[in-house]
Amino acid sequence: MNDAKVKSNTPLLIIGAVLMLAVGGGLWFYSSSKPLKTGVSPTPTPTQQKTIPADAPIRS
Amino acid sequence: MTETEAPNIEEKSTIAKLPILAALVALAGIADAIFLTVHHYNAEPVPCGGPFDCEMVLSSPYSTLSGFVGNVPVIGDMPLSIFGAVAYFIAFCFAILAAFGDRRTWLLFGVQSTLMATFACYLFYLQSVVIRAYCQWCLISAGISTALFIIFIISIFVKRRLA
Repeated sequence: MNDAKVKSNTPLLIIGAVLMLAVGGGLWFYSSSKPLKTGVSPTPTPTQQKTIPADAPIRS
Repeated sequence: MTETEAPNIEEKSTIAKLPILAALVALAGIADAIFLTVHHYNAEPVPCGGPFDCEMVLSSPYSTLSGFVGNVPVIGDMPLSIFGAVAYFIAFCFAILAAFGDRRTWLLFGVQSTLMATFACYLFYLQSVVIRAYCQWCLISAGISTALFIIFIISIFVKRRLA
C-alpha cells in the first residue's frame, strides 16, 4: 500500500461506475425476470374472436 | 544485500494487491446480494439444488428485517439482502480507496469486514440451528464476507513481517 494521498479522481470514477452498474443491472434483472401478470386482456386475441361462417343465416 | 531485499519487494507488492483482491471479492458479494434482492421482490424461487432448501430460508422471517426488528410497517418487509448489497458496496469503496493509496480506508475496511463476518456467523447459526435449512446463495454470501475478513487479516500479518 502506498502512503501517498489520493490525488486523482480514478477511485471515485470506479466507485461511481460500479454503483451505476449495480443499480442499473439490478433494475434490468428485476424487469427482465418479472413474471407476467395473468388476466383477461381487454381486446380479444384473434383466436378468441368468433368466426362467422359465410353461409350463416342473416337475422333481421 | 539483494538477496535480503528480494522477498521484501515481493511482500510489498503482495500487500498492494490485497485491496484490489478485496474489491473484486466485494463485487461478487454485491452481485450475490442483488440477485437475492431481485428474487425477493419478484417473489420468484431462486435456483436451488442438492441438500439446500433455499425457499425455507428465504421465506423465513429472518430473510427480512421483520425477523430482527419485528413487524414494523415498510421497514419490516425489506429483505436482508438489500442491506448486504449496501454493506458490500461500502466494503468495495473502502478497498478501492485503499488500493489507490488511502491507508485509513483500509483500516475502515477492516472494521467493516469484521462486522460483516460476525453477522455472517450469526446468520449461519440461524440457518443451522433455528431454521434448520441452508440456502446456497446465503452460504456464498457468508463465504464472501469471511473471505474479506481473511484478506484483511492476511494484510496485517504481511505488514507485521515488513515492520
